[in-house]
Amino acid sequence: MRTRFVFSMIRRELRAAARRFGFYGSCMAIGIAVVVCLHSLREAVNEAVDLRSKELLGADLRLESRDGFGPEILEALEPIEAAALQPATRVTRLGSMALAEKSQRSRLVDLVAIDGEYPIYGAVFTKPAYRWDEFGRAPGRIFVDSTLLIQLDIAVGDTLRIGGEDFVIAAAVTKAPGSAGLQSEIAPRVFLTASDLDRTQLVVEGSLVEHLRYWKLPPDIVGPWAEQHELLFEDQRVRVQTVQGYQEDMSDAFSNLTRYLGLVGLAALVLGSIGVAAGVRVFVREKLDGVAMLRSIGARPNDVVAIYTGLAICLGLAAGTLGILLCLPLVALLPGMLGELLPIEVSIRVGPAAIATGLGLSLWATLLCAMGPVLDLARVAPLRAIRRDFSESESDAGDSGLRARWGAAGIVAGSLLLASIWQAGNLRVGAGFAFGLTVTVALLALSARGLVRLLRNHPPKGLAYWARQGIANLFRPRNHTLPTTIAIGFALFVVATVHAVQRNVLDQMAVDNSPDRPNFVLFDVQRDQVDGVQALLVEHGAGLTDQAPLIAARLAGIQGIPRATFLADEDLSRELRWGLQREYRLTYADELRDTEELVGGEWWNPDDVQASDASYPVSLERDLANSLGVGVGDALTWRIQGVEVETTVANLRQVDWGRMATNFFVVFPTAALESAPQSTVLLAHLAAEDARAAMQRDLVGRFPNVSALDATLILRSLDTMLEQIGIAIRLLSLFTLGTGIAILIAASVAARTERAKEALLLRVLGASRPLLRRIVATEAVVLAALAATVGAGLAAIASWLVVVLVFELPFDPPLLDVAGLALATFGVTALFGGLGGGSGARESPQAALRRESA
Amino acid sequence: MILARNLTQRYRLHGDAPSAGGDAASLTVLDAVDLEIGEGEVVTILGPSGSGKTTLLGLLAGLDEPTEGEVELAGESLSALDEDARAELRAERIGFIFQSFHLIPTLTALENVLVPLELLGPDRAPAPAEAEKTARDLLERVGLGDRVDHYPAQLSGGEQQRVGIARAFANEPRVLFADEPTGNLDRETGEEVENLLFALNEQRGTTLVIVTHDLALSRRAHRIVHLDGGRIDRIETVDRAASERVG
Repeated sequence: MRTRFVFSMIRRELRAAARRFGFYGSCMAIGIAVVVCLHSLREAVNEAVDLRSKELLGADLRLESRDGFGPEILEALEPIEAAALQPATRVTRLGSMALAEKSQRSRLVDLVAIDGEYPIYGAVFTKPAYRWDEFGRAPGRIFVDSTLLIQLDIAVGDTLRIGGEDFVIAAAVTKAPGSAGLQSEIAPRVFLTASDLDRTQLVVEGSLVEHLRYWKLPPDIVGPWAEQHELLFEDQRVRVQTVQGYQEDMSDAFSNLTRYLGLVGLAALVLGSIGVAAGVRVFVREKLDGVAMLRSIGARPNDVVAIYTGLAICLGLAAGTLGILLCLPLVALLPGMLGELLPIEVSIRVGPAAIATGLGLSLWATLLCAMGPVLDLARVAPLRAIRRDFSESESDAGDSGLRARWGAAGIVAGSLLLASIWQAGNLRVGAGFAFGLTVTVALLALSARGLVRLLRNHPPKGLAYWARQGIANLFRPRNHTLPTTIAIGFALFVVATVHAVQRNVLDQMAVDNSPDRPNFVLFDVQRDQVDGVQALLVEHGAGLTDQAPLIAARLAGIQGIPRATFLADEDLSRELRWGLQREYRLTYADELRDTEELVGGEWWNPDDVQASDASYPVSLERDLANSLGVGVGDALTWRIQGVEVETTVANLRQVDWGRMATNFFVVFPTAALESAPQSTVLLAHLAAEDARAAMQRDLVGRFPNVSALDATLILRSLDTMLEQIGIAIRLLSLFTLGTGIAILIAASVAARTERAKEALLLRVLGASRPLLRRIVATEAVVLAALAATVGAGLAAIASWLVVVLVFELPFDPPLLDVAGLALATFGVTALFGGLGGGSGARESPQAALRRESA
Repeated sequence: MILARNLTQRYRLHGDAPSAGGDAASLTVLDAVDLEIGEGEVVTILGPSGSGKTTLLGLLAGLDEPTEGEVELAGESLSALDEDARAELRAERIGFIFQSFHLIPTLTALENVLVPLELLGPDRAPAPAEAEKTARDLLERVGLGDRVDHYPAQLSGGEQQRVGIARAFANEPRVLFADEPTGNLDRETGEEVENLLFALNEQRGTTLVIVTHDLALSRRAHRIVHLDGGRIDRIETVDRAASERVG
């Protein structure tokens, strides 16, 4: 390689191509910006979690159980107790109603009763400051999440009634270990001492209580100990949280979100790459004669490869830099947009790793785009410089050329696969994504080729000259049909698919919006309290919409095989493990509810079931049955309050979980569980907020153990969260659309360059400017129609597949939206494509001749 | 300087690579041509369209490989060289002038002339400042001293070909191949360019091989090779003094 020559040529070519490279680079920059931005965000979250995980967890080890810690667990805990650097901290958590004496407002709260030092690591920040030091010094003084003060319209020093006892608010907690976020909106925390909780007498048999223990330990003890007792914890339903596990959990949860968003970014990058590839193809085509001349005066193929690879590197670096610059404002916006989806407070900066990722991705993508065209240039025969009739096929090196093309295609496909897997963080999802993209591009290419063949074999007859000429442009040599259809069709495909999937998923998640939907849930209602609570509801004008008994249970075996046998299998599927380990809230009923539909088996006849039966029929929710791998007729053993109960799956139900109703995975016949200890959940509707507040106040006074949850709060919080996800997705879709438009401009610039010579000849031969414009417009309109139709069609299929197969939701095609997007794409493509003809027609034939002869 | 023996070029009719032997499906564009061109000699190749002129030029310059036969250029057998070595030979010893000029549109006139100097091997490549001086001198000599920073699109056809001539002489080639150098120019401009070409050639003693349709141009050579149907019809020795008197 002649270094000086190569560098001189790169510098000169860059000078001339800077503007075009700007267009091409901007196609890719947006995708790079998204990927870099999400990379930075993920990095910032991971860094913050790594740094602060001990403080966030509040200890070296935390154990959590709904049922307390049995003798086996206590035995396993002996080495931990022995090694502990200080006595364990015991925390009891449960939901309860709290009534503010002053404002007479009440609210469901999360009681956190502490016995011991809390937190072991980190600090609890309060307002007024430093009040946490006073925690536990005097009885009857509580600390509450600051949101509760706002919700109940009270202040520090006011009194809160919990479980019939009055407590004085010593301070508001602004920050404490454990995530607050959405939870503090629904049930704010109230910190009190264990002895104060005892005074409330809220913890009774059957209360939903969570027991937690925290330890401070020397390093390197927790990991091996937790691993050693993993199966025991699983069996006893004890959740173990170590600092490392906590780090991983938080990072993983957040990574899943950023990875999904990252795939949208990758799609934008792939889309941008297609734009770059189409642009580079045109750029290279213009260079063929120049390269032939260089070759004839002594440039080697290696020199040519070096020059144009160098240019591709410059383009890649420019696109990467532009992407990183674009990322800066995005990075500033993202934390606000994601809001409470962020697991931890972070300050995001675009660090060296993110910059390296952006530049690396950009370089790699550009080199992939340029690889094929550069190889074509390297094969340009010097003979081309003197043989005017030299055809490009003669420069093809036969088998070796074909091998090179297939090799290049293989590298592109492999790279896409690797990038997708890397971005998705999951082999299956990544491979599926890469496959989907490849199939889409292949289908777009096939459609374009099909159109070309159709028009070539059956040219439309009887049309005006300009229409025939415009249509002929689609299949004549050097046409743009293939790259433009792929670029535009793909842009529309990505935008429309993301939009259709988002609409479907959000619509499904936006829980029942009907005006009379229940907005109030009362739970932990004891059997002897049901009538009284119902009367209270009536008193306040509330409509009871639903009620159901609740009985806690666990699955003890499937088809006679004990649960422990399944759990001992390390390769057990995640779904089955979940199904075996979870705690069930059973109910009993003798008929289907409105939200349920029988999809298998038959409903039982209530008269045929007796309490004394050895085995009862049960109804299973269809997805649960799938998770457990059981069907109608299979046997399930349940452990209900220490008693094993045999059942047979009588039928399967499909449940509409989106409706606000009491929905259950497992339903027993009434006769089977009627006499079992149980609580009741009631759903009610009470429109006025004041009336709800009054009812809650009375409820706390008359039934202190009953908890009331104002569902509007949950729905409001959920809506906010979904809205945040929606904004993030919409923003990324916008970027994808931006990429599409950038490609349109690049493609139109390329087409303009390519068609300039023909337009010039036609003008010399006497074609008027309007005629030229009509020819170019015809070509653009047909191309736009093809790209828009195929892109929208593929988007409809892809979104249907994603919604049905991935999200397992019914698909409701947003036809109007997709049609609108297709129409907009058609309009923009036709407009930009048509503009290419306009600018070419403005130049005088003589000036154009001079330019073209150079 | 140039020795061609039994030079044959065939193409398969369906666009495949040329094959030895020949058959019904191949087209012979050059048929067993023998030709010897001495150092400093000026030879024109004359013939009707399709007679094989450009093919012969391409083979003599090492731009293509013959189906049969061989070419020796400046003492080196081209068939013994691979493509990289042939490229190096072209960079070091050969200059080209093209009918359609083939200037790089994104380079200025000066940069176009600099390209062959940058392609020279390390032992012959001048320092950048020296290369630029050489290129400027050459442009001065072809009458474009005041247009060095102009792009090809800003030059007339005749001016572009002058840049082409300056570029062809930049690496001080031992052989200069010209493919219809005046084919794209009007008569008057063509003559100017011809004069320039011959004047520079005379000063430097370069071997000159010109493919042309132009009879007047061909008569300014030492010998004219008449090609017809891929074969040498005859080789005519020109009485240059007489030609000049006539001209």
